[in-house]
Amino acid sequence: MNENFKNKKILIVDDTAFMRNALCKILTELGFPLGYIEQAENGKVGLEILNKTYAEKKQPFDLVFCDWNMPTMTGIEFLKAVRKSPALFKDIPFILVTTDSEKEKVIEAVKYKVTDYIIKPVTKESIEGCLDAMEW
Amino acid sequence: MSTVIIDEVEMPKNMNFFILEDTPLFQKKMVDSLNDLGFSGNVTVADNIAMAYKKLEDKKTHFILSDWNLPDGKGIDFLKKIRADSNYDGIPFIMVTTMDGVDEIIDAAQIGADDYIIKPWEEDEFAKKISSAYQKRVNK
Repeated sequence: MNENFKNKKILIVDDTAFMRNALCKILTELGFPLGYIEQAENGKVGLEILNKTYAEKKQPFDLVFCDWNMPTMTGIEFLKAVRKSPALFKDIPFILVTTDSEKEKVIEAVKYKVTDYIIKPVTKESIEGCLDAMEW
Repeated sequence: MSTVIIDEVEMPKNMNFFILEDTPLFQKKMVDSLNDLGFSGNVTVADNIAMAYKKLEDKKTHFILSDWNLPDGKGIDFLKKIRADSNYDGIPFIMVTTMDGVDEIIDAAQIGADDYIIKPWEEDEFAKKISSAYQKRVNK
């Protein structure tokens, strides 16, 4: 278990509760405390959580995992909104979760400084690979 | 092409659904729920995993609903087989379970399950999960 993970705050954005819960389970198994993981069902709610955290001067989030394909504010729209935000969270590491058939589109996200992407199904190994690449 | 529209997601009316479920009551309920949504009744039903492997070859399948507990294994065994077979690339796959199976089922996401439905389901919830899984896999 990685000691570096124990104070990291993570935001998971996905409209499918099953996927949010599955990712949350993987993250807790890797050593991220459950109390430091928050979930949002779309980009709009995700943005509200980030803004509220900033406004209330709570511990900022360290990383966002976001689904690409969501009906209310897609992953790329959410990423754009975060990067355009005047708040301190605008440079937050941001990982897009996508399907194999959508991966070509992820190149568009590079313009908005996406940190990395993961192809579904999300596994413990793919998350570890991402965190290793970020040198966490 | 005739379509079924659920939550603004447009799906072909004549989609072939595949149901792997050993309880006749839930087989019937699933078929009824799909028919009530407006699909044209192209449903193949298998009682167990061995039968499912055989029946899958008979007709092209566009969407799979599988029970978690089956007489000859777990739904996850069937899911693994589907996700390892390129003939079924990108096909939506939803697990169906009782409340007791929810904790166990979460690991199926790592194999490629799209979602799960808890028995007995509300029709609205059933419709939403079918359309969402389809939208994410097929209708991008």
